[in-house]
Amino acid sequence: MSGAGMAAWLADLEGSVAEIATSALGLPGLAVTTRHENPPTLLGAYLGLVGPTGAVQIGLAARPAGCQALAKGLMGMTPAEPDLSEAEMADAMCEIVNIVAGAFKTRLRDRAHPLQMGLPVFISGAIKSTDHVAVQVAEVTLGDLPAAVLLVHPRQAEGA
Amino acid sequence: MQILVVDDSKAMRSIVMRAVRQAGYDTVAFVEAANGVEALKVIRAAPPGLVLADWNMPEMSGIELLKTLRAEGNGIKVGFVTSESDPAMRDLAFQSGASFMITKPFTPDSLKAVLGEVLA
Repeated sequence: MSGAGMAAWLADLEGSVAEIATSALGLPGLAVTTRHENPPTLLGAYLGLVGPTGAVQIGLAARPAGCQALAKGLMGMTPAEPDLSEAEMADAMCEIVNIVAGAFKTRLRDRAHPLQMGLPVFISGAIKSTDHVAVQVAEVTLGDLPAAVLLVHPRQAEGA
Repeated sequence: MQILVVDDSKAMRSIVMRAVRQAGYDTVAFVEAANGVEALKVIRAAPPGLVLADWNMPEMSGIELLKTLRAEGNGIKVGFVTSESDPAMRDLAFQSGASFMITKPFTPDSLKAVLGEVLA
């Protein structure tokens, strides 16, 4: 998988988030603002996917108010309803990423990249790039909601 | 009738229960479990009429739950409500005795269609 390949995977991930935003969160869709490799300091849910050539993590992150809005969208709540507890919000964000992972996996399977899904985790703060791990970030808006779509992948895969 | 909803996400259990009611099954009673191990305890104590289970869960997955039930000779109806849509997993589910497999996100109508067949 080349760096260009990872860019394609990020595009597939953006497409998966867009698909779930409209079908499960009641949002009008996704627009990409910018793409870069500097992970933002946000709250986010992440899920690992393991394939024959390595593992990646996908993530969806936002500010606390954004996570509340996404979680309420999944739960079918209106923005005016009282905020969810932090635990409820984290649980709902993890479920959103779980559903996104299913859509992402389907897209990649169609291009002969079978993956197995792990369990989601909720993280507060920035995911750090290392010598071995790179992070691709797409800053997006979901409706009028700013968020970030993240793809964490091994650096050795870049030249493979 | 009682339906056991098995999912490690409390949010998704709420969504599934609401969707079942919206599908017209508003007199159904629900029991909840967060994974296959908890579900087995519930089923062994008081078997529900139907189990709606996620696939990927900690401690015991949905497919492990189904295989365990069938290995015990328990023929309770089990349907999967999961973000997985892999054909190989679908085949495994049906070969293991699943009644249906519905992919998240789902609508009350799509849930109603499968429930109508299973609960007829």
